[in-house]
Amino acid sequence: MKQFLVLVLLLSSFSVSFAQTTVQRYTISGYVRDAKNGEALIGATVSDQDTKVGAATNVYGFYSFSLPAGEHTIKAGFLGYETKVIKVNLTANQKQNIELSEASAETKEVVITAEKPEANVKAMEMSVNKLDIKSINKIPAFLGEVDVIRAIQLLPGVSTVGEGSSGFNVRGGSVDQNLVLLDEAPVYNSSHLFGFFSVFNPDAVKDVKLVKGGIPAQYGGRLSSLLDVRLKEGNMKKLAINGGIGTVFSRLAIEAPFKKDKGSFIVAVRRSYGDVFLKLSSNQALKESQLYFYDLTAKANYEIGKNDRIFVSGYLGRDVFGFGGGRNGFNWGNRTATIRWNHVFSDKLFLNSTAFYSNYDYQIKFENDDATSSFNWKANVINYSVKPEFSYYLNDNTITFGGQSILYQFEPGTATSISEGEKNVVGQPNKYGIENALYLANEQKINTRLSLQYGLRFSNWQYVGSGTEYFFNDTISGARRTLIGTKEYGSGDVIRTFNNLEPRFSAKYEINENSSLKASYNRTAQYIHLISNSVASTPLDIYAPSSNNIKPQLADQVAVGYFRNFANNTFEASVEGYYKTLQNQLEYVSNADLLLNRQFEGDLIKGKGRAYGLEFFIKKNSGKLTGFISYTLSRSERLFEGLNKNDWYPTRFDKTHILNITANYDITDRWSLGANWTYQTGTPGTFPTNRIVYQGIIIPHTYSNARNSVRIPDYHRLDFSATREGKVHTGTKWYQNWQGTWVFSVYNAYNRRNAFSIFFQQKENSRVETEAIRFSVFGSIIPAVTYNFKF
Amino acid sequence: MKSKIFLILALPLLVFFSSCEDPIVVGLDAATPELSVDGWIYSDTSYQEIKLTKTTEYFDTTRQPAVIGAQVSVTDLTDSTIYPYTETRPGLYTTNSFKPLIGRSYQLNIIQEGITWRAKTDVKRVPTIDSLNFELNEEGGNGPGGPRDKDTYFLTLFARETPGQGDYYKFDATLNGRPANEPDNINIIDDKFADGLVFIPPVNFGLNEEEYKLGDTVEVRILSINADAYAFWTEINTQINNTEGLFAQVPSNIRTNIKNVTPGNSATAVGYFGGSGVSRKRRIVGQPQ
Repeated sequence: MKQFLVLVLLLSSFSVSFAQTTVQRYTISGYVRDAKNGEALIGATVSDQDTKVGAATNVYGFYSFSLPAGEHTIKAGFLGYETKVIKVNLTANQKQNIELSEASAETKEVVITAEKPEANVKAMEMSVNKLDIKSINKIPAFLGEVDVIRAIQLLPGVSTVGEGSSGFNVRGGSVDQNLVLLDEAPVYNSSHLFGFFSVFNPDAVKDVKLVKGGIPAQYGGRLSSLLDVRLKEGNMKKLAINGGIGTVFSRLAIEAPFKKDKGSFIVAVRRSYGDVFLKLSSNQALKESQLYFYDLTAKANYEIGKNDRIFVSGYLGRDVFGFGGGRNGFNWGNRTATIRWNHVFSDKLFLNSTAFYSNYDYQIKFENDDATSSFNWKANVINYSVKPEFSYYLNDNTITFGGQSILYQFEPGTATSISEGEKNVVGQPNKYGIENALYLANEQKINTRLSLQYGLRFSNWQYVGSGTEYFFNDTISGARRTLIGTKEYGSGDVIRTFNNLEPRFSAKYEINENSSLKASYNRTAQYIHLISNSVASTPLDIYAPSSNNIKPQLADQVAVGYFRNFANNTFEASVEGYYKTLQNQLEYVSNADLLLNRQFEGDLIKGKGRAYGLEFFIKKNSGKLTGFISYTLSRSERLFEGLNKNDWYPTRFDKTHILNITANYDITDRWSLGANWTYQTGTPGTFPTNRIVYQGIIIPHTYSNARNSVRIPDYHRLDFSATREGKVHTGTKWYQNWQGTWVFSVYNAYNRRNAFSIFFQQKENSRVETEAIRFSVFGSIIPAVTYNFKF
Repeated sequence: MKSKIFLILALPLLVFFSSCEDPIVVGLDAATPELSVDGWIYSDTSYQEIKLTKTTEYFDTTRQPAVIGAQVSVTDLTDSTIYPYTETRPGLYTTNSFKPLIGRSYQLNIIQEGITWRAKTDVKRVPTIDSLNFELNEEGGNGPGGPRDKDTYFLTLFARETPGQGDYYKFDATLNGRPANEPDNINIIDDKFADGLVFIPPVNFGLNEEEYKLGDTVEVRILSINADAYAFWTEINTQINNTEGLFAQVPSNIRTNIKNVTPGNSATAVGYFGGSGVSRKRRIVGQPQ
């Protein structure tokens, strides 16, 4: 904390000296919001019409910039909204809140061509994809249910091990290398029903941003990406209800002001009902099964005076799979809570303080009929954190600085076996870690063409007691290491400390109005590690802290990009190339014992990774036909001593080509059609060459012992959707104003059995024959109908 | 245990979604044949056998060629007694005079075509089986091996694990003298969750692949195995039973403990030499223990 104060002091003295050199300039600042519901608009632009000097709003809708004294015409714009022009006469620093109205169907065309969505070219950031919930809604969705993570998977640079798998891989990184934030709180498992749906309820989500490179200094703790999901604040003007009835689950969201234009809330819930159908089954086993998930997302905000605003948000969700009337099965869920305080110190200094709590847990149990014998296993990861973040707007600089402290509590699992009343408890004891970070960054406009963003993040990890340090001998590579000693630490003792400096740098050069070149470099450090030895990560995987045996993961990435808009910004396009190296990656000895094993660190193998690729993206924002095409050419590899004959091998999510085409066409005001086609190179696999026959069992064997040296067949799939928006009913009471929408969708339209994996087995009822089996997650066309309504 | 958990993980998906599996034609690389050793020693008999063959291509359905003319023996590492095996059928090497002792370690020696191979194993303690319980399943319905006929029996095994961690076991059963479980139904446990306890479900209920009827003779064996053999069977189980679905384990070769000790020779072998302490219990369904 002391270091932090020093940093603040240093910074303020530095900025004061800066300020003295300028004269006769005043700051104009405020919030930009949606006129209809009072939601803050993220990334709206506010600028002086003549000099083009201006700023974009931050995630809370706040902007600030300076202009010379005198009269100015200020323009405020946001994609899909009508531009607002305001005349101001600056004689002092001025507060100017702006409300923008959504472009109506008639004015849409005109407005969008009039206002240039130039962010692609003009914004400092690169390797960033933003999706607002309106664009996500237009993508044909699996079972008609719009989903944030599935939409993310269509973007360039994003891969997965296969459909239905949890999580996603960004630019060759593993699934645990994504910092997934829900209103600033990390979400450890972002999936429902394994990976078919994500925990983010689209009715409550406002904005989604995926940062794949040039990660700003205020974010850290994960190597490969930041997925920043922002919830709606809740309608500030009137009561609004959204909902939907779908094939898998139903949704309901209620939002309303509790004090008009001052405070509002939103509560959104979802519940699946697969289990309801199972109850109708004649099969006893299915009848006694449980299979459901639910989640609740809530948020409230209140404006206290004109300089302070408080936000409280939370998420609670759970997936349950049970058999035998719930006696056997497993369940998992996330809980997060965030409190944020926005404070405007002055027209130039903005503070957001965040405190959050996040808890991910899972449980597995088996029990006999009369509950005399049972097996029960529970595990958690719990986080507590505080994060003050300052933004200082100073002429052509935007300085951000702040810090973060996270307390991690790992409860890797305790299993209780009860046998006829006798009890046996095994597992790993709790582990604790503290991650601290301080950062300072500046975005500086050098001249009209060149802008720089540079920053430094200092991160510190302390593995703290109580706990045990395990020491292993070095043995042959690729084999389990044996324990040679342990050392015990008391509560609060620091067991191991790591420090890292993480430089972040981005540059933008505007070639002309329509095109720019950008480059970035970033180093990232990660102190927690997902321990998983299956193809797709499972809800039962555990996280482990950095320790004497597990070094922090480090990544360095350079990226360059060319950004160009065409036809008066109707099309925005970009080409980016990246190269990334990863250090201290983990693999596992064969037959690693990772569950409930205190000495699991002896089963880890340390290695490194590299990933590189080219990403092409073109997006059409306006007109009757909208959509985007993304193409990624990439490679992601790992090198581990003792594996694959000590040679590089491709990761399980390495796909040479990934092409996604997504389009939406508005036929009439009410009917629209959507289509999505995806093509991906088959993922790597390991195929046998020989058979071993042992005690009558035929076992596949690869003579060369090569890993991931062959590919399963390519993946491609077409989806369609048709949306019919109902008539807008109007009346005097809130419930008389409503609109219904039907969404018809077809997933996997040409019924391709895409392979998730190919495996080899002895044929059933044969002692000698073997076969290769293709496992497809979807073996048929999947049609669905969803009815959505809003009041 | 782990693979059972993952099996349960995969189940709801199969129910809920239209996931499917179908055979496809895949071309595989040809590879060099290797010596394959299939050998286990048991504490309850003086007759022991070891099979030596060569590996064949994965889709090749012909019998694996026998390795003939090898010199095979097992050495008791405590008193250095050597028990020679003789080739009684092509590739099958047997002895009638070797009864391994619990608590001792043994070494397999093979000399074949000028190459010397060695492997070590332990014969470890094994708990006695207290009783076998047969419960009448009057209604039929679903059982571990699929649908069940009415009036068949479920087998539960009662035995108390020996206190002290680090024991590993494999279970199997015979029904009227024939194996009651398919070779790929591998029942193994470690005592991590059950140290010193009476075995609990699903462990004590794992031998119900067959339907047991009144009058059947059922014999159950508990085989003690060492940690490496437990790992070997776990790997086999993973590679043959946990290959499908989203949470399949990564395919990799199973371990072997057959080492080439010939200087200057780098040939490799596959297979395993293991040893077990054996405890048995026999019961006729419907009759007292």
